[in-house]
Amino acid sequence: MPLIELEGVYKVYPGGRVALRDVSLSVDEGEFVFLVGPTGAGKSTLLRLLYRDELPTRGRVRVAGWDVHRLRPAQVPLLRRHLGVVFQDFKLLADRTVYENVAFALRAVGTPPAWIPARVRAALELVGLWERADAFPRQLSGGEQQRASIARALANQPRILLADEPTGNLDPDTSWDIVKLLSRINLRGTTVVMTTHNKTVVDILRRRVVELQEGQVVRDEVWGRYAKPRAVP
Amino acid sequence: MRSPALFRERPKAVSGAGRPARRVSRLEAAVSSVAFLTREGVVGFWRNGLMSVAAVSSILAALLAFGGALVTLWNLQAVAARVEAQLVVVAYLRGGLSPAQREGARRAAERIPGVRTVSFVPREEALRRLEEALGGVELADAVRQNPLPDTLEVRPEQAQDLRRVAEALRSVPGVVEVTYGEDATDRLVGLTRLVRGAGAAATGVLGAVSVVVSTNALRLTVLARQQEVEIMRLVGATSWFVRWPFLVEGLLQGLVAAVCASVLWTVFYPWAVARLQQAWPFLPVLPASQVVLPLVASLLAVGTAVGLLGAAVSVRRFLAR
Ligand SMILES: Nc1ncnc2c1ncn2[C@@H]1O[C@H](COP(=O)(O)OP(=O)(O)OP(=O)(O)O)[C@@H](O)[C@H]1O
Ligand SMILES: [Mg+2]
Repeated sequence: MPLIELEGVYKVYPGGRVALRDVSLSVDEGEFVFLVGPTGAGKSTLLRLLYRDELPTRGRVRVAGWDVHRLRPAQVPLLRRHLGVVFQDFKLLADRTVYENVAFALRAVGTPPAWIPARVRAALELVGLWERADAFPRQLSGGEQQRASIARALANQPRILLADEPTGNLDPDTSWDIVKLLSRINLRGTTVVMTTHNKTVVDILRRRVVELQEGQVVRDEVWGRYAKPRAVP
Repeated sequence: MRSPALFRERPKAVSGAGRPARRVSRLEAAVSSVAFLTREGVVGFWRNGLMSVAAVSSILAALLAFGGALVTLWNLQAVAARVEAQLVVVAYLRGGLSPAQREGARRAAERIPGVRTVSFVPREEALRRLEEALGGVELADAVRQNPLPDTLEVRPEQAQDLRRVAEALRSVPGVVEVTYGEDATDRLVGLTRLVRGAGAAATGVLGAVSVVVSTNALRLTVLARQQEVEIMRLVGATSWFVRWPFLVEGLLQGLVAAVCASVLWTVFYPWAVARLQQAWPFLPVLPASQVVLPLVASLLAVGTAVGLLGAAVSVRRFLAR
């Protein structure tokens, strides 16, 4: 059974804006998927449906065995414990150290305190930030902040990592570091879905590419590139 | 990357660097969560320093007004109770009743529903009281015969029962006339009832105002922690996890405001009583010893309740999504 599955999904925002139309997509455990497409194509919307920040207007969304489209509100937290989510703007708490930011996410899901130090350390070592554990977000570079936010997303050991333009605020070299980190995380078994406008990264990595345009899947390639090569007639 | 293997392992095995693996019971986990969330609330209270001060002072203002209403209400009630306690129905007995008949009349009066006490006042006693009321004149000398009848003084449980008790007394054998100062007393009872009602209403309104005030104050608190709430929800915190620190913070704010209000009222009330009695010695005000303790208890109870309620209401907005 696929880990992520969308069937005939439509998303119409209040006000009538159609963000997704008839999207069907399935992602197996362990895959790495780039979600590409022009701005406004519906990439972020698709991710939001997966962690149930939004509900589909029509269609089915299944994630890690959960019927997300008809999840009871009380079950939403349980779904989210199987997901890590990372954003362009990091969303770190400014008044807590890196360590505390990661520990906060563990605490928030009721992790027994005895487990927390080891888990935080493991997550920070994985992203290569253990040495900066006591730094506050403002003392970190953009790349380091994104590492901290990835550590937070992974601390709870989710099966899926969703990343919405994780390199959007970073320079090319740092972007590359972050993507390599995500690849490594993927190699360890975590399924990764990442939206991006970063052509270089997509073209070099050659992973699965799903392209959205105006809310529709127009391309889905296993060893894809950022853009379809010019058609040769 | 020294420890990917460690990282990937599941909780039971990861219990850590040098620590023996051990099961953590659900209860233990729950207790530690509550402790953590409570600490989050307390820390939030301190970290949001200026905002906490703002919230506490607005709740404090509302509680001070509430305390004022309460003190006024209690004093009015005491006055009303004292006035009402003096209201009696007087039943005049026919002259020449045998002791058994008088006792029968007294028993009959006692059986009327709503009657608290019945006391028999012999005519000699009535004369003595009249002498006293007139300033110690020896009436027994002036009048050869005591013109006053024996009476029953009947006190009802509640002032508003006066009229009904009086009606019932009229049909008691041996009673010739019943009086309770009809018009004046009825009006007085109406007045005390009005005063009580108004006081209670004012107290209720001010209590409600306190809730609104603290809801607004705590909305700021919730807003300031919007990002934390967002992240908690993102990583899969349950509603209770999100709510708890705010409830703690609201409770603390309400409690601190209540303690401040209590201190202020504890100082102010005795001072005000002393000043009032200096100015109007006969003004019936409740002594501080009777007021301060219940007032402090009420302020603490209302303060914490209002803080909790305010927090619960303002956090609901975030959890609705
Ligand atoms: N909360 C919302 N309410 C109404 N319309 C929305 C909302 N969020 C997104 N939209 C609209 O839905 C469409 C898809 O938006 P979405 O954010 O998913 O695009 P995107 O592919 O992530 O774009 P970008 O590459 O710029 O991030 C857009 O037209 C956008 O204006
Ligand atoms: Mg987007």
